[in-house]
Amino acid sequence: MLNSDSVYERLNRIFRDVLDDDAIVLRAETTAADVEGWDSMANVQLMLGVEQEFGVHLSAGQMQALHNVGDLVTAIVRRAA
Amino acid sequence: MLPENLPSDGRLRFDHLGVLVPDLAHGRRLLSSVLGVSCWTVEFEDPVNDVFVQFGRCPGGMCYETVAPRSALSPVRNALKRRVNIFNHVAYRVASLAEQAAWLRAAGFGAIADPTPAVAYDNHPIQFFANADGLLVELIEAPQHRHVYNTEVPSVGVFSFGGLDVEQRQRL
Repeated sequence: MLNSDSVYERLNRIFRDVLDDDAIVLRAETTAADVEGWDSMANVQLMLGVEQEFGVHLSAGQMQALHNVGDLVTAIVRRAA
Repeated sequence: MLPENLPSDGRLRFDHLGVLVPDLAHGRRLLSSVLGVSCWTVEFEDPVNDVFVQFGRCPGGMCYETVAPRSALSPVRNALKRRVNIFNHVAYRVASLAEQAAWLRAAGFGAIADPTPAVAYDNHPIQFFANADGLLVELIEAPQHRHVYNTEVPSVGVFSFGGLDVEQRQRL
């Protein structure tokens, strides 16, 4: 079972790689508006990274329903369980 | 040789190359002067996708779609602000969006959002997909659609936009 800390650590790596910004530190309340370059195109690339890293697929509708990184972490932990 | 699973019976029909512009008048000036686009459709306001779009065709037959933000929340505003992905997407008409979407997903693409109706295609559904390399593809479920070009705009070489006043520019 994944734990949230390890998910955040791995998500940070994905976000830094996709958005080319080593300063990114994700928190539960982080939203797309808080991260430079996190637009709809980047969102798909992030989700493809999540799918590759965690083996978890999120549809476009499911992605749009996520409000912040905390929701994403919860979805990953639930689906990977 | 076609990659495995690529539809080979013409189901993917090229429709346009999408280009981001700050506004449609700017797009007409740019594409007319740089790419020789001389025929234009009417402008479309698309509240669902929060953009203004217009289609232009150059004498060689290439079709461009200029895409301008409709509001501060428009999905194209960020790319315009950052001046990235200006040559934004390639679009194809398909008979079955679901079928071709499945093929794109198998090829490593993810859907940006669920299908939405597009005013410029008589409210037939469109959907955007991107892959890890940043390639953006639009599918349009309107296989028989044809753009109606009704505005002739002389390209540079016929006259220079630099000599036009604001009112003349706005009429183009």
